[in-house]
Amino acid sequence: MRAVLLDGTDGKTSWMVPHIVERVQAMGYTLDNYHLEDEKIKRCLGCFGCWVKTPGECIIDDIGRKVTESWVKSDLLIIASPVLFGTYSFNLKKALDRILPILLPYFIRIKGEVHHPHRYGYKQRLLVFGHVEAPMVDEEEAFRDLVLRNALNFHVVGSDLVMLTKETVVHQVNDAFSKLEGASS
Amino acid sequence: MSGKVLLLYGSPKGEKGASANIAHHVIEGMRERGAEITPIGIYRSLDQQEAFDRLVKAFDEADSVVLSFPLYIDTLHAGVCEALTRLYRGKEGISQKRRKLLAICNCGFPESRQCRSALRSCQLFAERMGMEFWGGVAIGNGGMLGGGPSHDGRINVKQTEALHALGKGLNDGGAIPAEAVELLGRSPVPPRMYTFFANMGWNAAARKNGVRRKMKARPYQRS
Repeated sequence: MRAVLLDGTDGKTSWMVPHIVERVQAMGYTLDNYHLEDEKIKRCLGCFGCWVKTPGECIIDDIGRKVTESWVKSDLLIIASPVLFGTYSFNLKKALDRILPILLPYFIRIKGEVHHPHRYGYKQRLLVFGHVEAPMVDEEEAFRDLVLRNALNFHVVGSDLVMLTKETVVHQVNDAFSKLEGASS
Repeated sequence: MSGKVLLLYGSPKGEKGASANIAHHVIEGMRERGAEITPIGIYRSLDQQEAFDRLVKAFDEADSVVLSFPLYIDTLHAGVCEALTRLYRGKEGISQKRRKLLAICNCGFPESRQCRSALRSCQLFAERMGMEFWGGVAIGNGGMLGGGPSHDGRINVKQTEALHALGKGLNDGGAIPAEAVELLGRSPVPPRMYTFFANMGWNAAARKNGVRRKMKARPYQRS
């Protein structure tokens, strides 16, 4: 079993990650772990080269390609990110924008709404861990809505979002993975 | 009320593509009212501190901000995310006047509602910065507006009028014109027609690049 962790944390939020890594590995997953603050990923150019020039692969030859490859080959997709304005950190978002090659350019209808189909169709689960430093009303709700939209557009078979606090991170991560084990069996 | 307006181009395509086409018409409406516009491309401003400092200065001096950007993976593109984050982190160095923010998000889907998460993020940014969120406008069918690989696009007469109305309304004060928002949020063609021609468009672009038969390639296929 293979998992990928897109770690969008920074110095203030790095506490989110160690127990996630520990649990994933204890469950027997081979983990590709990308700490994105340290990686030099170029921003998506919006050129659609991954659809009409080099189908399935970004035209930019940097670690963004490896991240996408890990994403495709993983059964479990994990995102860890501080949350600001109800969205991911910009380091996380750089990696996520570059994952567009996993989709095909065509439009299909899913439950009455238009989406892009998945290029591969593998069964994957998405687990997102977020943390809001100075919570505002509705910020967590906004982030939940985003994660649900992402789960739909990534065509995952199941998703979960856990908003972590520093004091309860171990307990929350344990719970999340126990739930995942229950869902997978 | 004619004031200073910061126009932020929020697409990596800069002054090309749907986001710029849309912004152009909003700004035309503001210019008619005598507003002073400072256009800045977000993507040109991120990688050199001097360039970002100019963006911050323009933000500081502005009475209103117009942010026009494309939807990426259901939310703000990384570059827009970075710009807003850096503005927020440098908030103490920015004068505390009540600026207005008009956010316009376009997406390639016929359903403009798919922009809602991105616009919500803009609203949360405005709240954190002490700005008045004048409104969020969602526009679908981005491929018709210059959002595709060739940047060709055409904004129809009614959409142009609605965008002008937004610009004038932002300049003049008062609430965002609901009719303009509603018109821009509607698909001007039946969604099935849009997706039919969009799918043909992707095939044509791939054919032009000699990869039509490889469009469904799976370079990362699991063994």
